[in-house]
Amino acid sequence: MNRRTFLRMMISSSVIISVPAIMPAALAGPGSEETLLFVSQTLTGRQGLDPAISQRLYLLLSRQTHDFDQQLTRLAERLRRHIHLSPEERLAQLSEEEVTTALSIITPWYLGYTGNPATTRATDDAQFVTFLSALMYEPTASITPRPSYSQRGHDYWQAVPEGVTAPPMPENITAWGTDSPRAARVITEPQPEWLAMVEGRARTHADAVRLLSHAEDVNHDAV
Amino acid sequence: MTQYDADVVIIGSGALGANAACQLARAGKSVIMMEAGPYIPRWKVVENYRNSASKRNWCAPYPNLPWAPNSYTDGYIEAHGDADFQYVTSFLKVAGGSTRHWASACWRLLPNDFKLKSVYGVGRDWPIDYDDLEPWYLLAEREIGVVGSADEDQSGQGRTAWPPRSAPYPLPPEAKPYMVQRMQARLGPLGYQVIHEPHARISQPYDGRPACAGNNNCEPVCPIGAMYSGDMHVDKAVALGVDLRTESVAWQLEKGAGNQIVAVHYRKPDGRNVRLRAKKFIVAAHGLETAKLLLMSEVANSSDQVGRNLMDHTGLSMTFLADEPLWTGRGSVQHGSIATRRDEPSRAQHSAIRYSLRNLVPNIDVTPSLLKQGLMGRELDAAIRDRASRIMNISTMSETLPSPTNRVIPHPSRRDAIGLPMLQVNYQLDGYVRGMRAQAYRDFANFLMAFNGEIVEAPTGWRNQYHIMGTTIMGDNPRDSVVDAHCRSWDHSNLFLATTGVMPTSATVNPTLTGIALALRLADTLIREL
Repeated sequence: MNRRTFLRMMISSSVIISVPAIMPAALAGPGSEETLLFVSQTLTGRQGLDPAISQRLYLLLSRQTHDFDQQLTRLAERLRRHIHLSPEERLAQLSEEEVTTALSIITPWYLGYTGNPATTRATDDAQFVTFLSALMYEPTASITPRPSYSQRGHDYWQAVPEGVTAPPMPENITAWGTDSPRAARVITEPQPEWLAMVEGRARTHADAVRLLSHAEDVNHDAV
Repeated sequence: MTQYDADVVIIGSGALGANAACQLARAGKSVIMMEAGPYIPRWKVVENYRNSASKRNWCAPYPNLPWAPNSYTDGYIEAHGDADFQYVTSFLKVAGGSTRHWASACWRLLPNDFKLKSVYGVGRDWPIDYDDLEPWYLLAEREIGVVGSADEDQSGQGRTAWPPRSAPYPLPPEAKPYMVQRMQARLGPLGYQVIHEPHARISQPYDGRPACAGNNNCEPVCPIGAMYSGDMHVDKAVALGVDLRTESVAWQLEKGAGNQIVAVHYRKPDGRNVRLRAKKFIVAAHGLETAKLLLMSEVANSSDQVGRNLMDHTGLSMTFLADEPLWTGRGSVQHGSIATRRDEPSRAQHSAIRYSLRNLVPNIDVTPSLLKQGLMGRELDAAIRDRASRIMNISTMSETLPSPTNRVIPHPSRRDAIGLPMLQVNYQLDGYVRGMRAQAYRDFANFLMAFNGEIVEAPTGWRNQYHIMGTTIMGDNPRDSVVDAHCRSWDHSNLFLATTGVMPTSATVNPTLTGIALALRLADTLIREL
C-alpha cells in the first residue's frame, strides 16, 4: 500500500482520528511502552486498550525491528505535534516510513499475533500478542463467537442472524431429512462465465464476461 | 508355561485403539494400551489454543515431543510426488489420538463403497459387505454419540433413507444453521440436495457430555467436550482397569514360534527399552505409523503390501464471496453436505465427489488481506464484517484408488530423538482422481452462479483432507492384502490391526466411524478367542 492509499483510508474513517482524552506523560520521552499505547489507541480509534498487551507488543516489535524505538518516537511526535490539526491534515503529515510503522502496530492489535503463522508446520515466526482482545473479532461480535466459548446457548445458529433480512424460503427449510425441501430433479448446465471463474481465469462475473467476449472477438477476427 | 504381561497389548490410544480396549476390558480381559505421546487434559489444550499465535494450526495446541513427533514436525514426513501436489497430513501423538483435533463427521460407507470393483470395475472390493459391518456401525455410533437424520438419503439422490439402518441414530440432528438453509434454498433449484452430515457433536446431553453450544472450535479442540474425541474412551478404559502407558514408543514386534507375535518392544524418552509379552497384539497407530512399525519389525508383509495403497480424499477447494450475508461461524465448524455425486455411474470413469461446507468463524482468514490493502479504522471494521458475513468455502472429498506405488516407508536415514526412523511418503494422483476435476468444476460453477459469487480462491490446486487409508489393506487373498476380513494379519494369527489403513476403498466420506466399527468388530473376535 502506498502513502496515498493509506491517507485515503485514514481520512475516510472518522473514528480512528479521535485522540485519546488523556495524553500519556511518557509521550515526551523516547520510544516506550506508554508511547506505544498512545499510538495504538490513536491509530485504532479505541480507548482502553490493555497496557499489558501493549507492553508485550512493544517487546515483540522492538525485537523484530532494530530501530523500532526511534520509529515509534517519530510517529508519536508527529501525531502529537499536529494534534491541533484536523485529523485529515495531521495524517497528511505522515511520511512513508511513518505509514509503515503505523501498519506494523495496527496489524497485531487486529490479528492478535505478529509474524506469519504456519498452518501445516510445527515451527513459524508467529508470536502471540492477544486473543481475547484481538480487535478483528469486534466487528462481528454480535453475530459470531470468538471461537472457544460462545455463550449463546444451544441451536442459536438456526435463527436469521441479527441485521439480516432473510429472503423468502420454503417453510420447511429448517428441517433435515425427508421433511426438507427437495432439490430439482435435474442438475443445471453450468454457464461458461462461471466456469471461467472456477478455472481461475476471472475473479468476478464482470471480468469473466469481458474475458469471454474478448475471446469471441478474437475468434471472429480469426475467421 | 508362558507368562504374559497382559491378554492383549494395544499399540496406540486413539479412538480405534481405545474403543477396542474398552470392549476387551468390559469382557474381563487384561489390556495394556501404549501411547507414544503424553496424556493432556482438555482444559490445557483449550488454554494452549487461546494462547497460540497460530490459530489455524490444528496441531499447535498439542504436545509435540522429540520422541513423539506429530505430522507437522519439520522433516518428520519427507514427501515425494507430483509437481502440482505435495502430500501433507495431520496427526497428533497424544492419548486419544488425532480425533482430539477432528471435526467428527461420522458417515457410514454406502453398500456400493464395499464393492467398487464388482459394481464399477475399478479399485478393489472389500472381503466383507455393508451388512457385515452394519451392527458394528450401530455400536460405534452409540459408543461415541452420533447425531444423524435416519430418514436421509445419504447417497444424495433425494430418494428414500440410505444406507439401511437397523436402528435410528442415538441422537437427533442439531438445528440447521442459517448458512445451510441459504445453501439449500439457492442450490436446490439447481439440482443439488443439501443433506445432514452425521457427526459426533452431540445435540443433547449424552454419556456425561453436554450438548454442543456452537463454540465453533471443534478443530483444534472442543472446549466443553460435546464433540467426541478418543480421550473419552481412554478415560473409560483406564477406569475399567486398562494399563495406559504413555510416552512409550513401540519400535519392534518380535516374532516367535509358529509365526506368532510374542512381544512388543517399546522405548521410553530416556532411551530405556521395555519388552511386553501378550497373547494378542493390536496395532492401532493410524495408517502411517502402523505400517512403519510393521516394516521396521519385518512382520506381516508376505504380500509386500504393507505401507502401499496409501489413500486420502485429495481434492479441490473453492472460497468465494456470496452476494448475501451467510454468516458462517454460527454453530460447529461444519454442518450439512452435498452428496449428489457420491455414488453415480461415473465412478466407473472417475472419482466420486462429496462436497463439504465449511462453517468456520472466518475473521482470522479475511482480516490479514484487508490489513495488507491498508484498510484501517471504521472502514477496516466494516470490511471485516462484510467479508466475514459473505465468505464461503466448499471443498471436495474425492475418492482415490489403492495404488501400490503410493506408499509409506520408514525413512532410510532420518531419525527422531530416540533413534527411531521418521517417515518417507511417495504419493501421486492418478487419472482416476484427476479425472473428477471437470465434473467438480461444473458443480463449482453452479455453486458460484447460485450466489452470484466473487472468487477469493479458485479450486485449481489439490489439497489433502488428512484421511489416511489403505496402507495395511484388507482383502480375501493373502498374496495381495495385509489383513483378512477380521483385520487379522494373514501372516501372524495373533496380530490384529485397528486402523483405517485396512480400508480397501476410500469412498468420499471421513473414515473414522468405519475404523471404529472395524475396531469394535475386531475386539469381539478377540474376546471370543481369548
